[in-house]
Amino acid sequence: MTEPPRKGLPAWSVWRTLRFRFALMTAALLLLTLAGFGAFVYTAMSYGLSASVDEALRLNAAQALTALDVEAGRLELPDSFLAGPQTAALGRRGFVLRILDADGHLLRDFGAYQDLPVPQESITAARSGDAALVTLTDPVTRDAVRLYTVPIIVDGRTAGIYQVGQSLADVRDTLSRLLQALAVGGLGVTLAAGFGAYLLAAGALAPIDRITRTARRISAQDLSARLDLPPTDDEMGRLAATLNEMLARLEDAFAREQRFTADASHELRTPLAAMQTILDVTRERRRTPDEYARALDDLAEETERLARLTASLLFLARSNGQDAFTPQPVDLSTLLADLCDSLRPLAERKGLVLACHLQGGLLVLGSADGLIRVFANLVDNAIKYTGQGHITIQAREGPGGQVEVLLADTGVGIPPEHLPRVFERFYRVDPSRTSQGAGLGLAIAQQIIHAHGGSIALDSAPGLGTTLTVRLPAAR
Amino acid sequence: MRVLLVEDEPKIAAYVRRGLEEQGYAVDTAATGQEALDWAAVVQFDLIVLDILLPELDGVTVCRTLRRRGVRTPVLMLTARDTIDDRVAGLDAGADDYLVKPFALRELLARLRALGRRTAESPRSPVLRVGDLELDTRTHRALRGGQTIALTTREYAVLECLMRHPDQVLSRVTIAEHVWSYDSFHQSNIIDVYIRNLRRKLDDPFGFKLLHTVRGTGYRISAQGGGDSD
Repeated sequence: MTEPPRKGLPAWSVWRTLRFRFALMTAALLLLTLAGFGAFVYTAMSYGLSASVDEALRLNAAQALTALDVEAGRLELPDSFLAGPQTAALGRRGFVLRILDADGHLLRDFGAYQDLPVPQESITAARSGDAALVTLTDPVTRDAVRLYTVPIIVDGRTAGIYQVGQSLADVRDTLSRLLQALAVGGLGVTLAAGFGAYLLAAGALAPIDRITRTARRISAQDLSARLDLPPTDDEMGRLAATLNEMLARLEDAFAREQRFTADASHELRTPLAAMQTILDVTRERRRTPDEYARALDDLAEETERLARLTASLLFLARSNGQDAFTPQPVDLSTLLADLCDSLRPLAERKGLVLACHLQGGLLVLGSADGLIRVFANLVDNAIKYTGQGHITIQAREGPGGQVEVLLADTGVGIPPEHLPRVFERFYRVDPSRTSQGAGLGLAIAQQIIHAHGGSIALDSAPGLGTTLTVRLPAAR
Repeated sequence: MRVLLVEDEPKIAAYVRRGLEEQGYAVDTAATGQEALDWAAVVQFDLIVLDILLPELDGVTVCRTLRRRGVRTPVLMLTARDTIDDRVAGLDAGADDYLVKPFALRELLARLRALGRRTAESPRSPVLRVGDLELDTRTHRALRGGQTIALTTREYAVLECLMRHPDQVLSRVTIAEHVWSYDSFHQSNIIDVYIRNLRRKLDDPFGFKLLHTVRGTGYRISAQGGGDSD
């Protein structure tokens, strides 16, 4: 879906913001915790309350058994007991006291819940001398009633059964109030925590929105924008710093690319312009055969220049995409010796000495064509920029399993301010194009050497000469 | 018209120069920005063709320097760079027109003609008129009394120089400066030879004289007559 053009921040749906999701998660987590805690409190409370009810019933039963008159098979609770504090305590809530015979037939009862059924299993338990606790529902009031059943033991046998019951309504009330308090409190706390989390997240994430705004301003045309976050040493500060560094690198790369395109277009247009001018001027009127011949020579020269340039540009473009060559063992010693022999006449015509000191049997893995291209270009350059003196090529085993080729000349040298950029495409120390070439030679050489896993470095003293060092991994 | 061609690419400079000279321009060439400034300091050119990418001083700097020195000669920028920034930089530096390499010679010539018309004292039309004499700067043909008169390149250049300043007396040196480049000019009485040729073609077949000699000063073209002591 495309979003409409927006000013500042877009009208994002609140669901799609991190801060909202963070708040929601925090609230959900807290709710879960509170629910667990509430369940624990509720259970503990419920258990505690039940236990105290049971305790009260047991106490009452124990006192009742003591107070019970057992006379000639008759079981009677004295009025003093019924009016006593134990019974009074029960009486404040709904209660029932019952005396049954050993078979479970009701003899006497007091208090509410007259219609409470007599649970058979309790009678059975009581007859075998055991007490029993059950929870029953009063059929009339629908109240839950806790009923304690104890046998009345006379002379070692069950003479009757005593039952005391108490309503659990109070317990239920207490528990339901507790549940209410837990629910209301828990929800309130959850909401407050969610809101707080939202505010906290909004504060923490505000720099992200600034990053978003800045990023939106950045385009290929203008990479100069930077994040203006305060330089704090936290996640945001580090993120902003990292992004700014990345932007700087991008801007640099873009500028280099743009320079390359502009340079390439300039370099391609210049011979074309020359060709068009030659053609236009020559065809303007009838010329002598000599003039035509001269124009054709000039055209041929420009055509060759254009062809060379195109080939270089294509080479750079292709090897940018890692134009793979199959590495073959190349005898660098032989390759350089051949090169020396073929370029020596060129050097001697300029009155230069081309000296080659080559250690034998230096093997590297790579492309012989590529390496010939590199060294022919480098030596050619050296001859071009050396007025007098000598050019020395030295090849030997270098440190760390490398083959080292040193190419030294006594030429014009390169001023130090140009050294860092000499390997850039189209870079020329002398901006006037009086010298041949478009400034691609060293860039191509570097690209080929890098593709061989090697390195190329240049050291120069203006007026004294230049030394190029090429290192290539030796083949085993 | 005297043109300064500032171009460091030797082939382009040589052929453009030849193309311009064959059109009657007097062309001096400079291969660097400094050379261009040196030329402009001593010669008043009618037009300057200025390449932007030059050794030492680039064309934009040269143009800005010329304008700062009060040189108002129309400048045509030539360049192989055609981004908008490049054009804006050139025009902001005081250039009057802009041509991207590669260019057709005919376009360069047309633009130079247009720039030549732009100078304050010359008319806006490509056809110069004095009395019943017309000079078409595009075809280099003169027309008088319904008759087409063919001119050599130099004759055209001298006539054009005079017709751009009608009724004004131009010294031989002034005419020479606009018609001959430094390399080709040797002696000022050569101008008299061309004036004589022009008179034979333009004035002699017609009753009324347009070309006048102002003794001790120079020449003048005028339909008013008078002042002629020749």
